Amino acid sequence: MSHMKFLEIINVGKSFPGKDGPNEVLAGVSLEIRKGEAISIIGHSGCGKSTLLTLIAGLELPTTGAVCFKEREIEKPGPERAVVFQNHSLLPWRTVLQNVLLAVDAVFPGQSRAERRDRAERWLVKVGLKDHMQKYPHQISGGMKQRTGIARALSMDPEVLLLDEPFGALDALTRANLQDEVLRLHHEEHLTVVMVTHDIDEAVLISDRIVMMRVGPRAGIGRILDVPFARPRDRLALMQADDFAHIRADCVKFLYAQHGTRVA
Amino acid sequence: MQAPAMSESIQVVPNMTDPQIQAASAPAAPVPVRRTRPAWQRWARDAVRALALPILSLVLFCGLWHALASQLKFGSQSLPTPVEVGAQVVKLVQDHIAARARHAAATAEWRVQFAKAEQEYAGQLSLAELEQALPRPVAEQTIADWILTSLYTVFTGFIIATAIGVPLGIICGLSNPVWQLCNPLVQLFKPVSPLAWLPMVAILVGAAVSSDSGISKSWLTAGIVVAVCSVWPTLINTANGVANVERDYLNVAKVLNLGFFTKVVRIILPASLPAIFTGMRLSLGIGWMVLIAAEMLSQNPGLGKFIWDMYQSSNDATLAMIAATILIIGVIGFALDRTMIGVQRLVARGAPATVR
Ligand SMILES: Nc1ncnc2c1ncn2[C@@H]1O[C@H](COP(=O)(O)OP(=O)(O)O)[C@@H](O)[C@H]1O
Ligand SMILES: [Mg+2]
Repeated sequence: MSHMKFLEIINVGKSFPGKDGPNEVLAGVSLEIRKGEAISIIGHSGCGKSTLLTLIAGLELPTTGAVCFKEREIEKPGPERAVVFQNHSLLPWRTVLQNVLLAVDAVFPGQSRAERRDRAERWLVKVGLKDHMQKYPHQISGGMKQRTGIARALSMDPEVLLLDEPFGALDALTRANLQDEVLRLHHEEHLTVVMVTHDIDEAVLISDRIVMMRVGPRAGIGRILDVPFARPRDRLALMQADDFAHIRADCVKFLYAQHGTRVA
Repeated sequence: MQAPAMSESIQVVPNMTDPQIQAASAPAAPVPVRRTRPAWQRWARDAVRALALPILSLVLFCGLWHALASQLKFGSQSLPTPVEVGAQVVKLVQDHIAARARHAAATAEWRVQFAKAEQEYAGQLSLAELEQALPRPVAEQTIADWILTSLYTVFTGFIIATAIGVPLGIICGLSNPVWQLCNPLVQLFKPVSPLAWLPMVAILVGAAVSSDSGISKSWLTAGIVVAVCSVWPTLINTANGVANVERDYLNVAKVLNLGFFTKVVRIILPASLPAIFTGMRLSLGIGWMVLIAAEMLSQNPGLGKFIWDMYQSSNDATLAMIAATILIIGVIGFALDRTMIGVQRLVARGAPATVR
């Protein structure tokens, strides 16, 4: 049990059919993720970060290679790998609570109605939406929508939380709050987190390792950077640490080298 | 088309250059002064804005119409003026009131006579035989009856069209092959005029429904023609709505591993409900147009047949009466459309509705 590989990306390639032949987005991607680890994926836009995440989620299948969860090949989405989408993807005709219940009902059909409702409410309270459960998505702020998305994902009792640029559209303060929230949930719930982001500070703050991707086509992993800060982490202390600046500079250098003069 | 005033926000932003407000907010408590009008004033202003232009357009139209009607002559006929038409509308209402009063009086008298006859022939005739000998007075048909018949008939057709169009549209939207199969037929039958459908439907209904079944053949014929001609927008909009549900929502269904049935009920149907209702609204509009033609030909005793009867029994007031009926048909069609918009808004609760 203890030697079982948790999440493994094995020599994965992914192509999409294009106008002139297949468009090879990813090629030769290999990565092993340990249980409880937090991983950030950074890279220039369009290099295939989202594609890699959808492969882990099981929304798409790799063209070559395999993605394995607990040594089983991933063939379809499952509740043990929950996804938080970039544009929250809440159903506008359902209240916040009903949106979370949709997931709970799907994953725990054996539980009683009261138990399921209880579970949904518990997660909404945990992400700070106690007073907004009965509102519709258009009645709450962008940050609250993402919190709902996180509650919906976590209510499925996942082992892996997959986030695709989850806070990109939020203002700086809201983003910081939500980053702290993810940091806390990762620590308290013993989650494994894989997050695509374009925010280097966010990557350094949250993750144990930062996976930097080369530009496509046939993109792959260029470099993996360890972030050896102790947990639980504190945003302010971290920002002042010397290592923070070093790691940050390494990331920027990599991205800079990847793309001439442009920096993500 | 919607009056722009309806959706316009009417918040009053505090004016910071106003010295009075600055003076008030300068010391310790910077309470923003909101000079919001009382609710009834805002309501009244909205109402005026929403009504002013339509009323103006009506007034202009009546003026133009009056000028034209008093100038143009078509041989012995001339266009009825707005006043003449208005008089006919009033007359229709007065006739209705008078007819109902006559009927009430006749019924009262009949009751008295019937009671007398009941005593007189007690033991000799049964109640049913008595009723046959002394029939209850029948009410004269008035504009109210014609309107009710027309509404009843159009909703018959509308319900048939919805009952067929929505489920079929859902199937077409879910499965591209089924849509490819249905699409040529839809394109083929969509442009066919109600007048072309009617004789065939009438013959089939006449053959299928026996005369003593109590079902009105003219009602069924008109209803089916309405259904056949108005089903297309519901079908097409439903199929489009279902086929074009946002990818994000479908991804949610995928990530949650929802089963096919759950996916359709929980995600696809709610997501396409606005499109479905848009289709139903268009269908009801077409249905109301088709209905008048169908009633003329099938002799269903609604507004269409009334116009036809006017046309047949030509007299001095015919043109004015027909014009009055056209107005009534327009007003009812408008009311139906508004009702459907209201329903659409209710259905689109949560999702910002785009109502056109
Ligand atoms: N479903 C798809 N079909 C075709 N091409 C796709 C699809 N998804 C992604 N791609 C292509 O793959 C490349 C990488 O996309 P993506 O993974 O979204 O990049 P990133 O998330 O890093 O910005 C892009 O060039 C995009 O056009
Ligand atoms: Mg992306």
